[in-house]
Amino acid sequence: MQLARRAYDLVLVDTFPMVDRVMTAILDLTDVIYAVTESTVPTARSTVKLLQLLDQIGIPSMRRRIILNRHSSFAGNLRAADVASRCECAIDHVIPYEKKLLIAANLGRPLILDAGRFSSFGRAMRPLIEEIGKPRSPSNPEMFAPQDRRPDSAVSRTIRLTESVLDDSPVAPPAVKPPSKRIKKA
Amino acid sequence: MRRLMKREAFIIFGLLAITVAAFWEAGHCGFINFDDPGYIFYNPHVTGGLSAANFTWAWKTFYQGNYLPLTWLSLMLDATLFGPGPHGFHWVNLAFHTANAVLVYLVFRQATGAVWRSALVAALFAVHPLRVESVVWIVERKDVLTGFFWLLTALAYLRYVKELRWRWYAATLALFAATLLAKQTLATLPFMLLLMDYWPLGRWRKGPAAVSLDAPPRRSLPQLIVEKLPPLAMAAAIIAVTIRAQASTGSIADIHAVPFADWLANVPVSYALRSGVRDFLRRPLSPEDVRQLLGRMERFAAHPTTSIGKVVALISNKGGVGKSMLSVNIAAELGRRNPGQVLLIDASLQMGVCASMLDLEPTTTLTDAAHQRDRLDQRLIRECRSRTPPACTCSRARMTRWRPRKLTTRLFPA
Repeated sequence: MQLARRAYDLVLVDTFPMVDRVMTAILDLTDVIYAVTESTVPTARSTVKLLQLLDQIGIPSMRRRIILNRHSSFAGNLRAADVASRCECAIDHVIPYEKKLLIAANLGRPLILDAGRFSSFGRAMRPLIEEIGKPRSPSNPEMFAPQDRRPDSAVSRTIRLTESVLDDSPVAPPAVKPPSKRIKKA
Repeated sequence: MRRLMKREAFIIFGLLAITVAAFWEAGHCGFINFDDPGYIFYNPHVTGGLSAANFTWAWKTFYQGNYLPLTWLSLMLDATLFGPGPHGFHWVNLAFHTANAVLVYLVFRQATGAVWRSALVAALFAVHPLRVESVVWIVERKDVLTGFFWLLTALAYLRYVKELRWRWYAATLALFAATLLAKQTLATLPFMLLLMDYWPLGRWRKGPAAVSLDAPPRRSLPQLIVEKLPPLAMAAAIIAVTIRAQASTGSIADIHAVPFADWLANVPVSYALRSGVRDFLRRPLSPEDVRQLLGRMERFAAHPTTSIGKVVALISNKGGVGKSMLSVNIAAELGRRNPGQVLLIDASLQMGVCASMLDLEPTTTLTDAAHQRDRLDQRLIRECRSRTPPACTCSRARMTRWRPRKLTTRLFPA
């Protein structure tokens, strides 16, 4: 994972719902963890347990975000505020359910690439994508703007290469700004 | 007769045993960083296994500056039978080397008639340290394969000399063709056959007598040379193909490209290399090696190692909440905005679906990367990933209508 993050500006990990050694190692190296939940009672209740588990294994709450996925508003379904209340934390992003998601999965082409300006899914995803796409820390402002990268001399490159080889110290925790739109818990 | 059969069996089984014992560990080794990536595990034609398209590719390609159709086909067959992992390739290399050890014994025994001396030569061949590179390095399949056909050629030639039948001469030519199509190093075989005619076969009228008991009829030198003209023509043809293949990768420089003064200046360097400086180098560097190294340095420079990327994980306490769907969409959009800067890792070791959601068929998996963990570096990580197709990263065509035909093709691939 450390090598991957040196090779890429963003490493996105889709995990398996099981807390084992692999998962713990991934969580230790992760800058931001997005816990995905749904607006159904069993899932919301299991999310509470997951958040408790993250507390117990020492994952600070500042590194956590909650996504309410596949949300639909109809009578009998939970509202985002209900889920936030049950989880006792704020819901950071609400991603609505859309029928086209199933078609996109069947076609093997992510819906976001075809989501237009008025697509509810696209509108909900954009703040989440902007947030994830933000640089990891202010010390590396050039990330995600490779075209603006300044030309680099061979000497400075060599020095930095050597430093990176010698530097095995752990990476400092990220400074992630709180999201702008947070749904207050009820 | 029965006693002779027992002796033969004892020698052959002995050779098999010592060869397998000496190289047993090779079967458990992985790939190495030198040439294996380009030739084998990042070569989709080899990892894709034996198919009609890959078969055609093997006969047409000058890939890596070489023309090795039989070697490619052999590697593809391994990938089909044993998968793209390293162990199948290693075991097949060992099988060829074991067969070669037995063939060395048979060739020497038939040529000289000496049984135990031939067995000793074959045993030395089997466990000689110089054979390690050819057996343990997967890319050197070309070496063990061409050796296999070369020894079979020698056996067919011995049979031809013994019986003087044209069908054995034809078999010699056919096997020589296979030798050249596996690797071109043994284009010198016609000269080796001439040397065999001199000793131990004793076919030249003015040369020493045959070593073997059943001496073949003696011939004049022109007669022996005329007999070698067809294999010489084959060798000339393959040399022409090889020069073209090497030139296709820029490995052959124009003689006027380097001034004469530089040639002279290179003399002391060559002497230095020959007098021990080469101990620090694996071998005198070829232009292709230098090109690959520079390319690698360039890639590192394009992605400075000090830029520590952000790691984001999507988790849940249960499956089916749409984690993979979110991951794929986030990665696709950020990948479109920042090409080549986003890595999506599907850590569902049991059954990942991200590849399917992106219409990808990965040739390498996390398991392959884990197997190579000792030599994992940024370049290997970049080369391990499956690139998203251009349609995902570039095109913004709107998905406006239902496409049942494509769906059926995805669900029931032909």
